[in-house]
Amino acid sequence: MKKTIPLLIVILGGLIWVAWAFSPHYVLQEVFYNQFYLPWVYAMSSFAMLLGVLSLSMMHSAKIKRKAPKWQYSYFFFASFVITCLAGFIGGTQKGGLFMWMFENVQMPMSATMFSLLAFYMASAAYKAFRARSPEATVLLIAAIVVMLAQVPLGVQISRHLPTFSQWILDVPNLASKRGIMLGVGLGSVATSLKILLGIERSYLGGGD
Amino acid sequence: MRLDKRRLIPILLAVFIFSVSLIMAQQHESKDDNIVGNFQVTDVPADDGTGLMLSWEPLDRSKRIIEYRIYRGITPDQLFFLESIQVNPKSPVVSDQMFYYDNSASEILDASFPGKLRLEKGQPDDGILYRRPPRDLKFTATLLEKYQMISLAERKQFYHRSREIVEEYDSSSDPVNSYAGLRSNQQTVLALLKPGETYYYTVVAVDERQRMLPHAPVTAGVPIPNAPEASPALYSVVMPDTGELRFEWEYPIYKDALVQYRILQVSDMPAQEWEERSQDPQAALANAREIASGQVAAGSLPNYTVVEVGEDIDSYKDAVFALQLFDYYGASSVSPISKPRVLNSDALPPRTDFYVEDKPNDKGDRLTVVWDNPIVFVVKVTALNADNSRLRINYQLNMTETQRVDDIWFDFYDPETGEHIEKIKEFYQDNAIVINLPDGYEFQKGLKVKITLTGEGLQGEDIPEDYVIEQDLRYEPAMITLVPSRALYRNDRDVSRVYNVVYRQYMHSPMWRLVMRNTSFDNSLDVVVPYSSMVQKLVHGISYTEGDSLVMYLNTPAGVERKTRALRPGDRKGAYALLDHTVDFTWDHDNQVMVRTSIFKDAARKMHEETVSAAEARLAELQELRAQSTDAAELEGIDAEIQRQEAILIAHTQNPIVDEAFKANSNRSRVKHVLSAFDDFMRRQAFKVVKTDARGLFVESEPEMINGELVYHMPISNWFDNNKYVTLFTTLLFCLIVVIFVQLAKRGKDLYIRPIAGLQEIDNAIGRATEMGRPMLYCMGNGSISDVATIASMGILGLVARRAAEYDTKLIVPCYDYIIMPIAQEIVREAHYAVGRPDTYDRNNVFYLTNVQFAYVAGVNGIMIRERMATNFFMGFFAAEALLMTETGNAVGAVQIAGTDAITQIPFFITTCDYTLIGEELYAASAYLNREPMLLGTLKAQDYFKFVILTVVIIGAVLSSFQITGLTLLMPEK
Repeated sequence: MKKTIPLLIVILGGLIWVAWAFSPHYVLQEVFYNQFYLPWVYAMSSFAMLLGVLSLSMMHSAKIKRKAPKWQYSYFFFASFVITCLAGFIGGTQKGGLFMWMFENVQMPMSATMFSLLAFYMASAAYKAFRARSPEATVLLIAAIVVMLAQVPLGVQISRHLPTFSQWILDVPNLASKRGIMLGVGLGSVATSLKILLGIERSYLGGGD
Repeated sequence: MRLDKRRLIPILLAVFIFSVSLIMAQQHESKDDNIVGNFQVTDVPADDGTGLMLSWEPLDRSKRIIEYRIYRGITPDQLFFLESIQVNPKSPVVSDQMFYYDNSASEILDASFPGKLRLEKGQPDDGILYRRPPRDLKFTATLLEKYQMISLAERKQFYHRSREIVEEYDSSSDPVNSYAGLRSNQQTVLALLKPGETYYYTVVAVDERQRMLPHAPVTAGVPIPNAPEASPALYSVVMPDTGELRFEWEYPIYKDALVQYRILQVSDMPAQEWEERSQDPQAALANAREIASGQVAAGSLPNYTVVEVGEDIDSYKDAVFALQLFDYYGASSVSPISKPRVLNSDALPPRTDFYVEDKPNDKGDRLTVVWDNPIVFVVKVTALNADNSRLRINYQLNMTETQRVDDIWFDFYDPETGEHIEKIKEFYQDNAIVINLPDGYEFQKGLKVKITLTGEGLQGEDIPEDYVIEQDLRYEPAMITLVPSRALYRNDRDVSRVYNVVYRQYMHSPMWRLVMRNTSFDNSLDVVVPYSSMVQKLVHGISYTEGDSLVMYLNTPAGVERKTRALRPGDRKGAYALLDHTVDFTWDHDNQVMVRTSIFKDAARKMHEETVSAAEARLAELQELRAQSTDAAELEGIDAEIQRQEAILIAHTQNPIVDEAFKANSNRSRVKHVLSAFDDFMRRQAFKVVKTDARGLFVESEPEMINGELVYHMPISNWFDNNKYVTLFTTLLFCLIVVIFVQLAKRGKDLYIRPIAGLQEIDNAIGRATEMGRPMLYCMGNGSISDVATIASMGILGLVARRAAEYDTKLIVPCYDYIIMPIAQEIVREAHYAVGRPDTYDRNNVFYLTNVQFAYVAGVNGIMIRERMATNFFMGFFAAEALLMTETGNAVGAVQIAGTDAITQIPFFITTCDYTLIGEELYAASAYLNREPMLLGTLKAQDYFKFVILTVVIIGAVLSSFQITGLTLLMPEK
């Protein structure tokens, strides 16, 4: 029973979504989707958010209690959480308030910093990938050099056909392999959805059977 | 010179005084500089007296202004935020003046407004600038006198949740006058300015630091009704062979207040003189003769008319005409004079034959008016080589969803010699063709293109063979390329300046209303017939309770009247906006009567009885009058009125729709019935198409009629999308293959699955972590629960968690999505229980981290470094964070196994991880590891279905190469 009812709900919900995908009818597109589903999603996601916040708080409070390694940092979590909440609830989330100020001047620069690291990691990954240790890696290296050179003026100086060749690499072999993967992904998605609909796949219900 | 104490003190004093003066001067200067200059509030010209125009000089670019906030009030000491105009601080406002027109309905009460009166940020206690008006109807009541208010509410709020508010009761305690009351959180109240009232405004600039700079001086403005703007042009045609005068005119930009037009024959005079004289329409038209008149309805009614003058037509050949437009205040304006063109009826454009069809595959809110076969025309020409001998020609194909074009034939000719250059058959319409010009052809000569089509056109019939579209492609030196000329020839006739204007008529109104003017490049028009979801009603008043009294502010012709009465049992407490509770119910088409009802049951019953008894009483009165009257004209009038009253009586007493409403068990079901009947007639529309040159030569199409009755169309909500038959078929086929393989697997057939290294190594990776005594990390990516990759990842998590529990290895699962977290916790918990180790389960190891992408990366990287992970799993959907995490994992020396269906991240995983599951391998993992026959069956089915797809792709490619596109076209585009 513990699994049967959720399973039935999922199967019923899945069938409705299948009908939604094939039918443009007002009942499904407007009544079900816009008037029923979307408001429920908005309402439910806020409660789920609460669950997330509770989980994070429990994890950090356990860390402090157990004096786990670097437990002092957990105080920063609570401090940031309280300050952000107060800023949002008291001052509002509009531009000009403390909440938005913190978002723009603390969170965004920190995110940008993390993102900027990507360039260095990419260089490192590229170095690893382009080491011509095997014939396949050599092909990869040559293709990469061609595509990269074609992006800069120097490439055209070397040969005016380089951009065309680069575009061909992107449009033909690259796109073909991408589409191959996408085809597999698409079929896999359908198969997984089908497994869920038929009750074969139950991992989302939490644990074993 | 030594700087001793004696000298230092005066110097410091001087510096101090200088600095203070400088700061003060700067402050003084900046205070003035920070106020917008020349702020003015003026009446909007040529409007109906509901608009004011605000203008000001924007601040200098150096001030880094990001927005100008406009405040409005009915007193100079309390102004509420009205609107914000955003500007780019990096680029200056181009014009010297900025404008804001306060001439449309603005929100004055909304659920998002503050609950109480709140000063604007940074305002002192005695400040005058406030945020939005409070969400308090008691406060809104104080504004009722100054604004025309309109309530906008969702249909269910008005019809099902509004409360009956009774103005007063009679001696027998029956309600005399009642309203539908809506609370502040059930509606948005919009406000329009009232003519003659005074309003106060100011503008505040806000800089990049979010500082509100000082406001401009509060300025008052009074909207005044003005004479309407004159029509820019009247076109007239005298048609001797038919004895008709034809008029067509243009409406001015602001036409909302226009109600009527008059066409007048005026004295001929120079245009300049007419312009001067027409400033005073009364004087200018003193001796004018009226030729025609009619309604305008804010410019939505036809802008043309025909006057039949018969044999007198010759006297109009030299006549001069003008158009007078009236607004609902009676003010008028006159157009420039029009001298008619004298043309016979053969100059008229051909009549447009059209039909209306339901738009297929929609939710029932669209109709298509079709008047032509598919239309193809060239939109762009691009040279593909240096000597311009190879050209790409982009074309546009306009057709309806029910029409079909098999092939388009493009014939190119030399425009000078007429020599045929090339013929191209476009069997697959991708909106582009490539043409190779012959050697030596002068590109600058241009090209002439003749386009013919094959396929299905109007009403499913074949496109006629003589249907030819021609266009000239001329050389444009400025663009150094060929461009299509404006002229579009259809069967040798230039149709580029002919328009097809679509009008519609609702069932309950005899008026034809403009839908859209279309060029001849369009062959159809999709008309939106929306489902009604909102109700818009005038606010008649506002009521609230005060102690034991009910206070009402009611709009009356004399102004807003305050009424109070004692609260009675059943009276609703709280504040309500008072709206008309009567609504349109059904249109009795046979009797041409609109039946109205109330949204409240008792009021509806009473209203019905009153209507019936009023009609009966009037009928009796008319019968009496008829018996006494002897005058034929009077008798005719009485008969017409009797007929009218009888129709009202029949519509209310012999109407099954009305009867059914009263039979409803509850008011809720009655109202549902009312809404259904209302939608039924409101969504039915008849159409006509007028073909015109917009200069007085127009021909109306025949509206669709059956037995002398107009045909009203209602869109149909479709249950199945016809474009998805193939998708449905393939899905069913796939299901069938899955079922077959699942059955085979169940019967014990050994299904071979190719080895996947990444999955085979999972056990080794877990073993490594156990041996090293270090934890493992399982990352499910940033996908949501609706992503298939996330669901597949959950399956793998269950298996990894089981092994981890068996070996007593710590597994950390930081979640990106708070909806996934409890599921992941449950999966890990179940795994621990399944292997008999519930004591080792720690729910704090499966936790929500954040759903901010790079904050998540920072968190995960921190955990990896602190905990010194032995093994990392990255399974799910990933974006830019993938490389940042796997590189860190690499740096801490963890064995990493990744799997994703995000194509852009697969290369990064391959580079930085030890093993990678590519695309579908991720989905296969659960089956592969479990070895369950059911799961293996689906996996095998996937492989076989891929073979089917590959076969179809190859066949499609081969057929397309032979110009057989049936199979290609069968495939859905999306």
